[in-house]
Amino acid sequence: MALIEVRDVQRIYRMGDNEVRALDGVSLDIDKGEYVSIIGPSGSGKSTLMHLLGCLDVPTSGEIKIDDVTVTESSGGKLSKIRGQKIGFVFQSFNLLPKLNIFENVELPLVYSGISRKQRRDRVEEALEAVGLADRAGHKSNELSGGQNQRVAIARALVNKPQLILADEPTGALDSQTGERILELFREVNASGHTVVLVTHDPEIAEETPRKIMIKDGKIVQDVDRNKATPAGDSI
Amino acid sequence: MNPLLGILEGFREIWSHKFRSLLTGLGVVLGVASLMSMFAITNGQAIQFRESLEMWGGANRVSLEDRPVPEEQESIKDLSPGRTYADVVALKRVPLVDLVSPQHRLNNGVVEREGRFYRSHWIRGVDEAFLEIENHQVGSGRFFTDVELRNRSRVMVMGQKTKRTLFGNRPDQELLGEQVLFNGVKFSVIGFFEEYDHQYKDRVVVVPFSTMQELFFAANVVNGKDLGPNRKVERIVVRVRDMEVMDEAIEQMRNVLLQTHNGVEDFAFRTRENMFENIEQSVLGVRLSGFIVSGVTLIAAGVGITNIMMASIKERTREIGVRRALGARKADVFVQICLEALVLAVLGGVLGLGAGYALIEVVAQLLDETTIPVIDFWGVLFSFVTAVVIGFLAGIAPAIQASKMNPIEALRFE
Repeated sequence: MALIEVRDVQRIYRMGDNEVRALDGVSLDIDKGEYVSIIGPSGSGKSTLMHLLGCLDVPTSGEIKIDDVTVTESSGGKLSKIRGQKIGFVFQSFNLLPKLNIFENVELPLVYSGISRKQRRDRVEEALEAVGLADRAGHKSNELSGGQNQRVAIARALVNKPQLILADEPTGALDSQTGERILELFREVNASGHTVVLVTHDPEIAEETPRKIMIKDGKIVQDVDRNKATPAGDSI
Repeated sequence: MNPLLGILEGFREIWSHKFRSLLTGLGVVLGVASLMSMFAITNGQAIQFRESLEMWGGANRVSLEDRPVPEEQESIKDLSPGRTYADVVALKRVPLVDLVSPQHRLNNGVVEREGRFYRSHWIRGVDEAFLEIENHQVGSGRFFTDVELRNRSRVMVMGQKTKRTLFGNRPDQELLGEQVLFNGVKFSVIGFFEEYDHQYKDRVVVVPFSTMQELFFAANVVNGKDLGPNRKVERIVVRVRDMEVMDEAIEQMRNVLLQTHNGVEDFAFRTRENMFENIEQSVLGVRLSGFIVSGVTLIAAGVGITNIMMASIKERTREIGVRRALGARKADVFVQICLEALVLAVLGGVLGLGAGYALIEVVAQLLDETTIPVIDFWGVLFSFVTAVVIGFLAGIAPAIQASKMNPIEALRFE
C-alpha cells in the first residue's frame, strides 16, 4: 500500500519574468516500510521534491497524497499537523536549537502535537534510548560531537512515531566513519517499520537503499528497486 | 502549543540575552514607575484638597489675611498694628460672627520623643474655638482649659497619626501625661483627637495659643533690631452665623477691623469659594501632564521592544524554520513571539512597580508633610496594565513577521 502518492507534480518558481521549472511532471509512489534514496546533482530538483514530500511547500500543479490525505488540498494549519505527526525531518546541519538541551530538542515535535508532559517524557527517553544517547539528555548540542548531534536529530525525527522519515544529506556534515554509523542507524529505523527517504547527491550513499530514484532537470530519469525484478518506474 | 510553555520559552529567551533584555525593559520600568508615582502624587494632592475642604468646614468660614494697603494709604500704613489679639477680641463682638479662632502655625515645628521625630508645619497654637470651627473631637484625655490657656501651660493635644509616629501603637490611655519635646521645650500630652482616617487631619498637633505666642512668636526682631513684643496673630478664622448674611457679616467685620487697624485697610477676607476654585483644576493639570510624559515614555519603550524583537527574530530565522518543520503552526510562532514581548513587558512592569514604590518613598521624603503621595490600587493596576498592553502591542508586528516566514527559506538561512 502506498504511503506517498505523487501525481504529475510541477513546481515552478517565478523570478521576475523567468520561470524556473524545479519539478516538471513528477509521479511516483512510495510504499509503507520502503527505504528509498532520491539522488541527483545540485539543482536537479531533489530538494524541491523533498520539501513537497515534507509538506514544507505546495506544488504549482499536480497532487500529493500522504497516508491517504491529499496534502495539496490542505490548509496551512493542517500541513503543520501533518509535518508534526506523520513526518520526521533529519537535516544535513542537524538544526538542533542551541538554547535548548538535548531532551528539550527531542521533545519539540511532541510539544507542537499537544502531548501531555508525562507522555512526552516517556517518549523522549525512549527515542534517546533508541539512538544510544539517553545519558546525554541534559547536555546542550554544542557539548556533543557531530555524529552525536545527528543521532539526536534522528531521535527528534522518531519521537512522534511518524510514518515517514525524510533525511536531507544526513551524512553531509560528517566524516565517512561517523556517516557510516548514521546510515546504520537509518537501516535500523527502517527495519523497525518506518518508511525512510534519503535525499543525497552521493551515489555511494544511494547504494545503501534498495530503491534509488534519480532526478535530473526536474524529472525522474531512473527508478530502480533491486528487490524487484522489474524497475518500479515501469509499473506506473 | 501550551501557552505556559510559551511563557517559559519567553523567560529563557530573555535570560539568554540578559543585558539586552535589561536595556530593552528599562523603558518599561521607568514608564511604569513614573506613571505609578504620578498617580500616587496627584492622588495625594486630591486627598489633601478634599480633606482641607472638609477641615475648612462649611462655606460660612472666613479667614483673615494680610493684604498690601491701597496706594492712597501707603503713607499711613505704619499706623496699623497688624493682625493682633485685639482683632480677635473685637471680632467676637460682631453680631453676625459666631466663632473666632486665633491660630499660630509654626513653620518649622519638630516634636521629639525618645529619638522619634515628627516634623511638620501643621503644628498650631489655638484656643477652644478651634475644636468647633475645625470640627475636631477629643477622643481621649481632654482639651486645654481656660486656666491652661491663661497660664501658657505647656500642654499638647495630638492626632492619631502623629501619636503613632511618636509612640507607636500604644493605647491612648497609657500615654496621657507623657512628656515630649516641642522645638526643645518640654510639653505634656494631655489628650488625643479621634481617629478621622484623614491623611492630614490625623496629623494635627495643637498647643495653647498663648503658649505658642510666648515661646515662638514673642520676639519681633527685624534685621537684627528688637522692635519690642510681637502681638501679631498669624491667622484668624471666623465663622459667620449664616451663609445668607455673608456679605453683611464681612462688611461688619471690615468696619470693626478698620477701627482696630487705625483706618488702615491692610487685611482681606478669604472665603471658601475663591480659595478652592483653582485647586481641582491644577490637580487635573498635573495628572494630565504626568500621564502624557509617562505615556510617551511607555510608547518609546514599546517601540524599543518592537525593534529588539525584530532583530531577535531575524537572528532566529533558522530556529523558526526548524520549529515550523517540526510541526509548529503559524499561530504557534505568532503566540511565541507575542508571549516573549509580553513577558519582557510584564517583567519590566513588575520591576517598574518596585521602582515606583521606591520613587514614591523618595518623593514623600522630599515633599515632607506637605503632600503625602498615596498609592491606590487602581493607580497601580492602571500602570501595570498599561505596560502589559504596550508589551502586547509591541509584540504584534514582529510576531506577524515571524509567522509569515517561509519555512524553506528560513531553514536555508545562515
